[in-house]
Amino acid sequence: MNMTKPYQSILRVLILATITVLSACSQEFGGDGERTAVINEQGRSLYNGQCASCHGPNGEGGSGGALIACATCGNEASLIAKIERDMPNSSSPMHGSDAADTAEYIIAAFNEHANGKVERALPGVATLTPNEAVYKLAFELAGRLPTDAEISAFARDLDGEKAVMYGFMETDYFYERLKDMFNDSMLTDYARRENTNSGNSVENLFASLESPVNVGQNAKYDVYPNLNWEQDFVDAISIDGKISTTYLDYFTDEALGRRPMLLVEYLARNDRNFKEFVSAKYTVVNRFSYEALGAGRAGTHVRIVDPDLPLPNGASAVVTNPQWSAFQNVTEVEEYLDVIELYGNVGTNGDHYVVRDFPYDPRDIKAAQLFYNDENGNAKTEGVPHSGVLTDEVFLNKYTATETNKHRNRARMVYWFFAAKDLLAIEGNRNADLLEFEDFGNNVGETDPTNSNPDCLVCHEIMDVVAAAFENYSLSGVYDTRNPDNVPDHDLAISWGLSSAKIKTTGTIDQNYYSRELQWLGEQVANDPAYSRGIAQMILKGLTGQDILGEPSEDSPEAYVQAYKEQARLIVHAAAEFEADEFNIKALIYAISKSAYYRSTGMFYNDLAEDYSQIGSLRYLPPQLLNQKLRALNSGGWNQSLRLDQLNSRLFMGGKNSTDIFRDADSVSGIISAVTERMAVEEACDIVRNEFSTNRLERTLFKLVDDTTDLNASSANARQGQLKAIRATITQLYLAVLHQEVSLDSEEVAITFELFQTVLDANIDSPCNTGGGARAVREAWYAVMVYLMTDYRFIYS
Amino acid sequence: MNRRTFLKNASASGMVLMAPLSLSLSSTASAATDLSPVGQYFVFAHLGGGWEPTTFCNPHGNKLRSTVGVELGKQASQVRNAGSPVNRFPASAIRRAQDIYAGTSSIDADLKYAPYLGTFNQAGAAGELDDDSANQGLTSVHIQQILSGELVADLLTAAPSAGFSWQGTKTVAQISVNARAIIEGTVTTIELGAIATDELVDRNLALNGTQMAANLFVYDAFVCLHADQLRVLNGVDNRTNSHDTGTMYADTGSMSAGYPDFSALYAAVQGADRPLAWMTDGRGNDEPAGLVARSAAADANFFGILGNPTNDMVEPFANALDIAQTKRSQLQASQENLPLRSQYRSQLYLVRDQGLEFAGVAAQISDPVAGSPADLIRLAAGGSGTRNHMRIGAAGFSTGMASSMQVGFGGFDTHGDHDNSHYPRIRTVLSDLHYLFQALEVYGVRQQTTVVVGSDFGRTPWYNDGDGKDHWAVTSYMLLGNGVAGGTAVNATNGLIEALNVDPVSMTPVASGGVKMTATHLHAEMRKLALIDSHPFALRFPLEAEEIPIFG
Repeated sequence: MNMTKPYQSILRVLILATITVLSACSQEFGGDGERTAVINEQGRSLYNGQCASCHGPNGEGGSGGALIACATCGNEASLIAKIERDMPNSSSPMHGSDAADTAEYIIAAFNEHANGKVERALPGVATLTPNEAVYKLAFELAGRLPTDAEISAFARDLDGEKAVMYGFMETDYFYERLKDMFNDSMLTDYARRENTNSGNSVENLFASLESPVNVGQNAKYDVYPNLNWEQDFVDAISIDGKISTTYLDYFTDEALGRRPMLLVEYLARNDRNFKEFVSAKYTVVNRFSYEALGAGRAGTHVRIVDPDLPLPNGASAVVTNPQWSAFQNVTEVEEYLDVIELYGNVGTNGDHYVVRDFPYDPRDIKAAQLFYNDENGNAKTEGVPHSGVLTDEVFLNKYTATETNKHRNRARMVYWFFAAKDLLAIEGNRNADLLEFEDFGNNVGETDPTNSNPDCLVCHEIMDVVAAAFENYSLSGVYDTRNPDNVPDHDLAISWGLSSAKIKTTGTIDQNYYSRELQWLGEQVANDPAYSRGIAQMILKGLTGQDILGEPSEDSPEAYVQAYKEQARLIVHAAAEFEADEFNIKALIYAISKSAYYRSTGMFYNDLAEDYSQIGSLRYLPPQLLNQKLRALNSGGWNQSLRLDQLNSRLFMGGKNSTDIFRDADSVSGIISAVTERMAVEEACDIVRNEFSTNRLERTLFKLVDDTTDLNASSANARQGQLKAIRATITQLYLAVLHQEVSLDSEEVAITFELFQTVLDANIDSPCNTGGGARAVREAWYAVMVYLMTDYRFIYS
Repeated sequence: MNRRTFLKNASASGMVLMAPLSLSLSSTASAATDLSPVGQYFVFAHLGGGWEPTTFCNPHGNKLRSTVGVELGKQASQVRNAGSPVNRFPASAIRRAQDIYAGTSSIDADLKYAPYLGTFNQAGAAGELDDDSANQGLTSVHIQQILSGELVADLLTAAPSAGFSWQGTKTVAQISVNARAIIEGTVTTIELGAIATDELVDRNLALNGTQMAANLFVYDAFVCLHADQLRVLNGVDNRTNSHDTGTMYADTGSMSAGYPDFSALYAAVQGADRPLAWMTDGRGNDEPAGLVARSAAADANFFGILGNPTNDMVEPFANALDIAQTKRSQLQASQENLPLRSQYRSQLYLVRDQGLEFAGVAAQISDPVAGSPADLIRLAAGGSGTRNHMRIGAAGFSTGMASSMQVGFGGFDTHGDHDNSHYPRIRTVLSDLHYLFQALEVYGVRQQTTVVVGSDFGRTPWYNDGDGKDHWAVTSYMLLGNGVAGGTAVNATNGLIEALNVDPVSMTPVASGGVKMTATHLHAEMRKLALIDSHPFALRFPLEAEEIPIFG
């Protein structure tokens, strides 16, 4: 049937409306925290009359940009201020109650869902079954298959589901995964060994953290005095070489080079308020970085502090005699290191792990106050005014400053990561013709237009005031109030652009924030309503691999507009749940991963394709996750034609290194597809061999079948029993390998069974050494595993 | 029906056309109509961090900016950093390509390049800048003598001054051998002999007795060998000082987010299902806009896999497996309708089937037979992963596996100690471009390949307090190879490195009217050269720019 586009649209709307009603009747949602948005009718009228033509009837955007999750949409005061400044235009903006009504309507209509929670159902969209979801989430969050108890509890009710998901988020694997998620956006793992094939990157980075003895002179000194502590430590404890400096080196590098991510782990492991990611008046150390950053010198350079006892001067109360926890047993050690080794080599001394001789646990992370060295090698009396990741040298060296950008790069990233605001997307004229050749006397660069040209000011007036807060940090990220690099000051007062809060209006710093302006900024950022959206963006990207979509323009295709709306709505709602749960990062992950957006698998009507072009969490798995998937299936990880614990192999498979390759491949090229085929045939072989060489009840996948399968058995009962076991095993394999639930009589199982039987009957002996005496059955299962692992859903998860 | 045929039919029937967002601006991935080599290839090299063209292809000399300002009729207040020169070398040390190029092609007199650091004096004896006599370092004739020298093992002895004649003392072929030895690093030392003692004044020269390191002359060797291929665009306005925006603009021709890199766009048009359709090393903008998957393949050791993906391990049950897989494809295509799933599924199965047709050539890439490809491997071993990337890309071009390549170079963001950092970076680029030409030659596609070299933006035409150079919107592009009027330059900057408008026909600067070159102009013309400007993919990412003969 041919239909014109308007009719198609009408049909789509009718379908959606019908499904919405049906799904509203059939879905049950939790009752906690429900609230109903109140629509301001006067605001609606004003909006429709004066705003909708530019911003779209549903706030989806047009020539005026989207109002769903916009920069000023999280706070009514900010939005009112914005409207009164230049909406609908700067010559006659709305004022007073009109501005307030309109702002209230925009926030209620486009930025708050009726119950303030993510949507567990979308009209016309099919989602994962409970069994599919628990297998998918067990892998995503815990890196393994779910246990029978977890499968059962997950399917029982929403409370059970939540408990299981939070259980996944207690595993060591989860904390590694969480760090990866943040690194997907922040890329602060650039110096990590796994990304450089070298142990020198972290050492070089920290060795470069210097201050000049006198500003303007060349002589410099190290701000950290004890970076190469390992040999001294080994010599001092005299344990007959049982401990390797290689091992100590490895975890020292991990602790130092991943310090921003260590803060993520600390906050998550301790269920702390994630606002502290930007506002914590402390940094974090584990026993390794505690030594390296200088504690070996009478504990003067690093002091463990109580994060819950902040002091008025921007520090935290010192904890005397901090106790470090130790691994409790070798099994615990091995299990933890197994997770770490997923990514690369762990320091060894040739006898594999020697960590049992080292009494400390790298997971034991503590809040700490740092005191730099002075030029005489003594700890300074004043510590670094920490403000979470904002003052972390690893972060500051990723987002470097120059004499000319004057910390603007850092400011821009603060807006993007922690306020969901892309300054590059702000409309302004970047055409040098207009900026300089006409407006500024036809002379490129002779006048700095960023302070005067309206096209520049629209961005710079909110960027420069944040950049100014970094002025007590050197270009290399060292806290040094002397401005040793002679970076010119910004003219404008330090302020947080989104809320227009300022601390310097007349040349003096309010509220005792002098010399610790970043602590002030961190507090503003953390308390801004946009903060939760910034974090939600990062988690969404980390969980799904999806890029965060920029606001559509009036020329954007309808599918893009719809995709933006769906993604923005999920971010807003997930952020609301995150905020409601005291900024517990696990609540945010729970919110996103329970959403229909994340769990969608299909549509009831093809006509809805344009509405749902982006939803779903399917993506080509980054190599380290692919390797973990193999490990979860008992292959041990791929270490044959390629070794996914090695950087070169990961890059070849489309991985990133965070140094100059910033993104994982989002889809599969020809070469990668060939490599994944090789992986399938090699790892399917490993899985079958490993499984069948294990006691049946202790296996991961093949608990119902054995080498003795004989479909030609004389006993009908035996044949039936074996047929059932084979089909049941196939359904289990679909769940474990592809996260798909299929029924015993489904076409999927029929196709797979036919393959199994054909290969079994052929009694073949493939080049795969499946082990054991009766190879025919194993070969048949090998064929099945190859078949499943060449399914697109194996590498796209 | 095999899966490839099936998927093509399915595509034609609309079964796999519910494209997700990544493709919403385009369409589903295109399939090559056949897998023969496409016959025209592009390499886009991005110099990350913002390169400084006056350090190579837009040299201006060490006259103070204040002096230049006066010459241009400007008020003193209009010239920022008036006390700094643009370059450290005197104008008299600037070299003309036509003096150094060895060959029969015509080279324009205004195609010039900078002397390499260590081969010039930075000022006259009394510290004067831009005195015509200030260059008491190496002259163009000295460079000719070096290139005409006697090569023995790793030592090249420059031809003596007495009786010297360019392309007379040595033949073009002999000169080329010397130039190759320099740029390929097989010669390490230049013996200047009497030139050093009688004709040079050493104030800032990298002299070691009468010898100099051979790698100080890579610029010259490159020009000697490749000037006939090179067209320089000086005075392109990249319109930004932001790395992100500049990178996006240089590689796509647009400042709008979501545009594909040119190399990705071209690869998509030529068939996204080619196994290495878009060769990218991940550096630069690296944006395919959902049109084509990235192929990063710098490690040739893995190519044996492409030659035989299953390694014959499933041979005993291959037929049964293929039957099951075909049934599965049909089942999934009929059952799955979530756009994201449809796209990923059809793309994977399409490229996987296609890969089987390249088994033989893939093996050749990983383990080439003796001869020129093996030499390429040897030469690549001395360089970075970039050279492997180039070699595999060139092989990919010749075999139909790839149609375009994106290559990145880093380290150009020289805010401090500019000269000592920047000259070596450009030298690396030129050495690797020379390697690229060799690779293209070996695989028989050099004449069909166009190379474009660009960057985020330029760098300030002055030195900051740390002897560095900061961001400057005006930059240069280098174009080489197929479709390029080699041996030419568009010089559209003044002495303060401001971009000048050019006549849209002659491409010479004009006082009024004319067109200012931008990356948009470059990309619009590149699309025309590639014959893809009216392809539906290109039309979805429109570029608006005046028509000017960018490529000559």
